[in-house]
Amino acid sequence: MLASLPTELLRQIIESTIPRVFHSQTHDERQATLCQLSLVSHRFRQIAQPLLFEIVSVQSPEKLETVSEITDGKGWSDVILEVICQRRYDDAIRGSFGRRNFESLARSGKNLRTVALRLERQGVLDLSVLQLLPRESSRFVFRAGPREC
Amino acid sequence: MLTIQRIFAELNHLRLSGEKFEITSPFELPRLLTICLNSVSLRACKTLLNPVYLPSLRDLALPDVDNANDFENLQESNVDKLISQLDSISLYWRCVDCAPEYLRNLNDRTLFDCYSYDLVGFCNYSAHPRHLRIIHVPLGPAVDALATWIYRISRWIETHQQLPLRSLYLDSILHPTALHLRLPEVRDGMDYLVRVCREKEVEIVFETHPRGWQVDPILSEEFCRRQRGIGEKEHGN
Repeated sequence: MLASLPTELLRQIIESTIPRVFHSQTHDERQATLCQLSLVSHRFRQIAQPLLFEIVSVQSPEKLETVSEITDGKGWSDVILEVICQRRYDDAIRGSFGRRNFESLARSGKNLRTVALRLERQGVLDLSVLQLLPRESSRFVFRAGPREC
Repeated sequence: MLTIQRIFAELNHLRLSGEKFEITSPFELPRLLTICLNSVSLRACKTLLNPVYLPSLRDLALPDVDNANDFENLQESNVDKLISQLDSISLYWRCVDCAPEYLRNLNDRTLFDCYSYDLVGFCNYSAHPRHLRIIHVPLGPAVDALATWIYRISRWIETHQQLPLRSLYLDSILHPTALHLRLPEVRDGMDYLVRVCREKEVEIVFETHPRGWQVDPILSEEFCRRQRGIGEKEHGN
């Protein structure tokens, strides 16, 4: 039965099983669910894998770079919607989030809408880097929508 | 069927927490709809709070901004000029004493946050919020603590003369279908709370609340949605 479902419908079913925004209580489970779904079949992987990168939560600049490299490599420049960067007092991670990270994000996050930064114990970040993020005013895309009655 | 959808590829939501920020020269975020600044990030970002730089801003959250120093920082910004374009504001209830007049006058548009452990202080204080959210509900083995605060807020609503409260935002873990409600003390407490709210015409809104509040969305999506609806209706009229 699953094989006969249109991809867009399958995508909507998968999307409905996971939170659509970041929440600290649900994020790990969201990502784990998507990882499991990616293992179901080739078709499931095509849908679930990009969703893994819709919400990116990282604690080190290196991880953010890795995410950018992966999404760049796969040609998913419009996949990332939300980025959460945490650098807390109790993190024993080296390096600071800086301009270079936002330059990468600008490339790999063409559809980025939400940024949450919790920065402690690192160098000062000049927020003018936010200007590097995509500033395309708007564009039109074709998407499968619900059937009209 | 295929539809044409418009995609906006600009930053809509920004949450900043921590002191490691600076703005060397102010800049415009033309499509930013919501911004959340805590007391520390407010210090660094106050220049940004200006309708010139945030022309589309609709929702402002200032969690833990609650003392005179914080409001001095706020006074140095142009937040007062932003007020007219805002649909909703999220503030910590303890700020009511020292908040500037223009914020205190926005009771209709403000969702006040109260931590569950701070409920005693809230109930003893003559606060008059129209919209209240109780966050950081005690969980786990401390069932007594959970039952106690449900009782406390219920009593406050029941005994308050001329209660201004119109809506109470509670964590979805207290929804009648949630597991915690299987515990008799908690279930009875919630039944009591629902009853007094019905009597006093206070609507209870269940929603997932921020726990890791420095990274989780602070603004209540439902509150913003409702306020936006009211705002659009007013502008339509």
